[in-house]
Order: sequence, then structure tokens, then C-alpha cells
Amino acid sequence: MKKLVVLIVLASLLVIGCAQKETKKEEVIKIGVIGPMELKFGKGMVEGAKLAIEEINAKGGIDGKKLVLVTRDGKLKPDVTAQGLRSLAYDENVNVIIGGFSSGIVIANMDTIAEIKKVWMVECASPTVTKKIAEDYKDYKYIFRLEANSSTFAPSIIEGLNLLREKLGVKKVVIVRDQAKWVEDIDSQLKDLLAKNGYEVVDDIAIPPDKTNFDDVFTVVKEKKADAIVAMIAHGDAVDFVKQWKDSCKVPVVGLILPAVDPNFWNETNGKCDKLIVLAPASEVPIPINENMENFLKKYKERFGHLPIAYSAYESYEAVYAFKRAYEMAKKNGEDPTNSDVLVKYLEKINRQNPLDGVRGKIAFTKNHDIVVGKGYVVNLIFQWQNGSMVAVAPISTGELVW
Amino acid sequence: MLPVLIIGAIWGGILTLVASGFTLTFGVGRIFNFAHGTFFAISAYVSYILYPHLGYLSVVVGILSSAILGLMLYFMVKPIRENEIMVILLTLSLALLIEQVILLTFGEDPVSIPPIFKGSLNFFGVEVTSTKLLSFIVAIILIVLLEFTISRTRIGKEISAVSQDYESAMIVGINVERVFMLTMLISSILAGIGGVLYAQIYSVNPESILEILIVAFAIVVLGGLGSVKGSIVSAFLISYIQTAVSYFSDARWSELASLLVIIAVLIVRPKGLFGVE
Repeated sequence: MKKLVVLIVLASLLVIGCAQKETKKEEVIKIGVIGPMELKFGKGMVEGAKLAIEEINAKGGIDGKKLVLVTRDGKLKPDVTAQGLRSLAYDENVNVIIGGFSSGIVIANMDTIAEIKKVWMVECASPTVTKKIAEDYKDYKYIFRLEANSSTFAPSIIEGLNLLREKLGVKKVVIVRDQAKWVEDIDSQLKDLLAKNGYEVVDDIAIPPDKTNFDDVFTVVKEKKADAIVAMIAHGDAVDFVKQWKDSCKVPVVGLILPAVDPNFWNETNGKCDKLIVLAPASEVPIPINENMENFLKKYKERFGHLPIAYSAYESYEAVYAFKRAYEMAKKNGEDPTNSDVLVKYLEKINRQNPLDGVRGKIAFTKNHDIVVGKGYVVNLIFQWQNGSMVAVAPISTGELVW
Repeated sequence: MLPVLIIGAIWGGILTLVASGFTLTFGVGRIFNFAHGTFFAISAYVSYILYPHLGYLSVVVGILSSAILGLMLYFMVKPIRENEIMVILLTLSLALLIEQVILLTFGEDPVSIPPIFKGSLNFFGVEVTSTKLLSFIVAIILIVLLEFTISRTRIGKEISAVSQDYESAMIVGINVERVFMLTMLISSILAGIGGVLYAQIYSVNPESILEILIVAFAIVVLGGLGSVKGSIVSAFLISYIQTAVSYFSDARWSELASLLVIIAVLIVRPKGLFGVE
């Protein structure tokens, strides 16, 4: 009997001890990052967020609390991303979630966010995301976007083309684009703008997803006597397109060629991207267009030994700072920043009147949680590959357009 | 019409390089080598890694690495060769394994090798790069060599005999194992050559392993399983369909058109264009 009593006392002491240890556990702020972790987009997200977290922690964290990074691999699949989002919310109780690369994945999981009620700072371009927020604010208000809405791309492509026209007198253009939903929306807008700006579209070539050989495309370009190609290509085949363009076609290419914003694109194409004119949505390229970007690129390289491997890195870095701003504002006003509704309220205060000084420019959200793209804020940048370097040519320039 | 003939011929030659090894392995050993795309990718990646150190010698090393992988695969498949399902599972697993290794080592971005010959030539208004022309010539030489080897040489006749009936071939004293090994070796070298040329014109990435397999599979099925001649004809047929549709109509329909033709041919001739019982 005595032994039993001693055992019960010891067990009770152990339980109390553990409980005390639990209460003494340091309070932290958890930043969740979700994305395709095997791909560079996921790795970029993690690196960008990590850099921001380390910088903030080095200065004492937020409200005296350290920031902790928690990641989940969405594997570029809607269902796996849904599991990851729920795990970040229910298992980890994160304060904010960053990432969710690709429009299809984000749109498919807007209802998951409505269920878990966590702020999600997404990395995708489809107008559908913010359209849905406008239609059902109550459910989708937790979603904010730091990437440019794709409806801003066409005017920027025209800006690049106009710049080329000043040099070469471009009149006839051929559109070469992915056979994909994201391009269909931009394509009609682009055609209208081309006509309004005095260009003649002599052909509009949609390329199937696995197309490798582009001889037929370039022969058509030549036969139609086009002065320029306007390209909209988001997939890996861009390397094949650009390599063959350089060898077979003498007309300039201006466009949104997403793989070409990667600093490694020069090596991937063996330098065949020289003189390619590219739209970098929301300035997500390693070009020092301002002092903040210059410092960011320097710190990034020091920390990871390379420049941002994907455009997702810029967004996740700034997302952490946007969260910090909202959290601190809420705290200062005596509200609970761990409440997602409060956090939404203060993220909405990062607007045109009260922008955040980001690395790509001034960060502000619209009423429907899109990032503001335009003069004085983040801009869609036109740059040109020149001898292995990216040179910004419009609307911010670090050099001259050459041909 | 001339541009279609020129572009179709060049693309057809490249497709032939991709598919001929695959059909040879099936024709002789009845082996569905789902790791065929691996030979292709390995030569390209090895060449890509070594190019800064060895220059164009890396291309030879790349092809050699495919040959070594081919030999390794022969020994892996040997004990289970009679079980077709096991062979498919093994070769497909190997392909997926190597795809993952490449993905983890090099990432998902495409890689390419600088072309041996720079510049391009103009054929009746079509710009054909020197490397594409080289690939076409290499493809033609390899096709002729393969045909010559199979029809005129002793080892070729042994290969034909084994492909027709390997038990009878064994009875008449043909070293069947040697034929199997040689076939796998030739197949891997053909794919290896295809890989290093392809990576100079286009690019390869981890997904190329399965993409190339699908292309090769479609060509071989259309041509008739095991028929080298059938593969060559179907490679050019697919190429001309894709090019003509893209040129005269719209590029977006090119792949759909070639798939419809494959299905139509298989309905009429389930064994493919040159398939035999």
C-alpha cells in the first residue's frame, strides 16, 4: 500500500512538473509556408520567408515574440494543399499562412480558407481570386495577394512593344502563346490593346503544352512578314522556344515568358536568350531597381549563396513584413492580432494611403486584396537579357534597350 | 508545301532516333523497356555536367554512360525476362527512381548543351539550324547502319532469328543471351545519341524521361511492335501530320491530329502499320 501511495505521489509530481514546464514554454509567432517544396517555387518561398524571419528575430521579433517558420508541402496538388492548410491551422495554429503557388491550387482552396479562417497571403495571378473575394467577402476576406493580377500584364507588354517600336518601327506582330486558360483571358485584352496602339496582329498561334519543335511557328512568322513576336509562355518549353528563336528567326520577341525571369535562364538556353525582351510581373527579378531591392539581393546572396531562385521568394519575404506591420498596428490599438479577423482589418490598412516600403516598391492592397500595380507602387517591369545580365528598360530603367 | 516537307523530315529524323532503340528491344527480347527515356536523359545530363570540363568529349562520355546503363539493365532484367509484367514494373520503377534522382540533383529546370555546329542554313525559306541538320543526317546514317547490320551481318541475322523465335534460335546454336545483351546495348546507345543531340537543339528536364517514353511508345505502337521499319515510317508519319496541321491550320490541333491518326490506324490495323503475328 505504501509503495502505491509513493508511486501516486511521484506520478502526480511528474504531471505537475510537466505542466509547469508547458506554461513556461516561450511564446512564439508561427509563420506557415505552403507550396510545392520539391520545386524551386516552394524553395524560393521558404527562403524568402526565412530571410525575413531571421531579420525580424535579430531585432527582437514581433512584440517580443520570436517568429518560427512552419512548412507544409502542397506538392502542387489541390487536395494535398488542403491537407497542409488544415494541418497548419489545426495542428500548428499558425498566425498566418504564406504561399499556395499557382492559381488552380489557390482557387480550389479558397473554401478551405473560409473553413479554417486563417490569413493566407497567396502567390498566384488569376483575376478569379480577387473576383471571388469581391463576390463573397465574408468567406474569402482572409486571402491577400502579393503577386500582380494577370489583367495588368497586357498593358505592360504593350509598353515593352512601344519601346521597341521607337527603335525598329514595329507594325505587324504574331502572337505566340500557351494553349492555356490563363493566356486566353489576357489574349483578348492584348489584341484589343494592340489594335488601339496601331499594331496589326497577322497571326495568333496557340502552342500545345508539350510542343518542342518550333520550326513551323518561325516559318509562319517569316512568311507573314511579322516585325515582332509577342509571346506569352509560362512553361518549361520556353527554353526550347527561345533556343530555336535565336537560331531560326531574326525578329525580336517581347513578352511574358515566365521561365525567362529566372536568373539561370541564360545558362539554360546557353545564352540564346540574348536580346529577349521580357515582362517580369511585379518586378520579381533580381535587378537592383531601387535601394531596398539592392540590399535585399545582397542579403539574400549572403544568406543562401545565390540570388532568389524563383519569383516566389520576393513575395514571401514581403508577406512576412506585411504581416508584421498588421500585427503591430493591431497590438498598438489594443486589439488581438492573433485573431484572423483583426489581422485582416489591419492588413487592409496597408493601402494606397499607408503603403509598406517593400523591396519591389511600395506595397499596398486594393479593396479586394490585390496588390496595387502601377506608378509609385510595385510595377510590372520590362527587362532585356543582354550578355548574361538582366537590364531593366521600362518603366524603370537600369540601361538601354538594344537590338 | 516545301516548308512542311523540310520541317517534317528534320523532326521525323529526330523522332526516329528517339524510337528506334525502343522498338529494337521489344522486337528481339519482347521487353517493354519503360526505362528507355532514362537512356536518353542520362546521356544528356552526363554530357551537360561534363561539358565545362571536357568540351564535346562529354558527348561521347554521355553516350557511354547510356551504354553502361543499358548493360546494367540487361543484367537486372535477365532473371525476370519471362515475366512481362515484372519487366514493366522493374523498368518503370527504374525510370521513376532516376527521374527523382535527377530532380533532386539538378532541380526541375531544363538543361541543354551548347550546339556543336553553330548557325543555320536556309532551305527554300526554312531556316534549319546546323544541329538539326546534323541530327537528321545522324538519324539517317543510324537507320541505314541498323538496317544493314540486321539484314547483312551475321550478328544481324542472329538478332532476326532471335526476334522470330528465340527457342529455335537457341536450338540452332545461337548464343541468345549475347544477342539479348547486344540488343539492349545498341538500343541504349541509339537513345544516348538521341539524348545528346536532342539536348543541343532543345532541352531536357527530369520529366523528359517519361515524355520521351510516351513519344517512343506512340511511334512504336503505330509502326507495329518490334518492327524497326514500322517505327521509322511512323516517326515520319507523325512528324508530317503534326507539321502539316500546324503549318496549314493551327499548332494547337497538331498533337490532337496525330493522336487521332494513331487511333484510326490501330482500329483498322490493331497490330500497327508493319506489325506481324
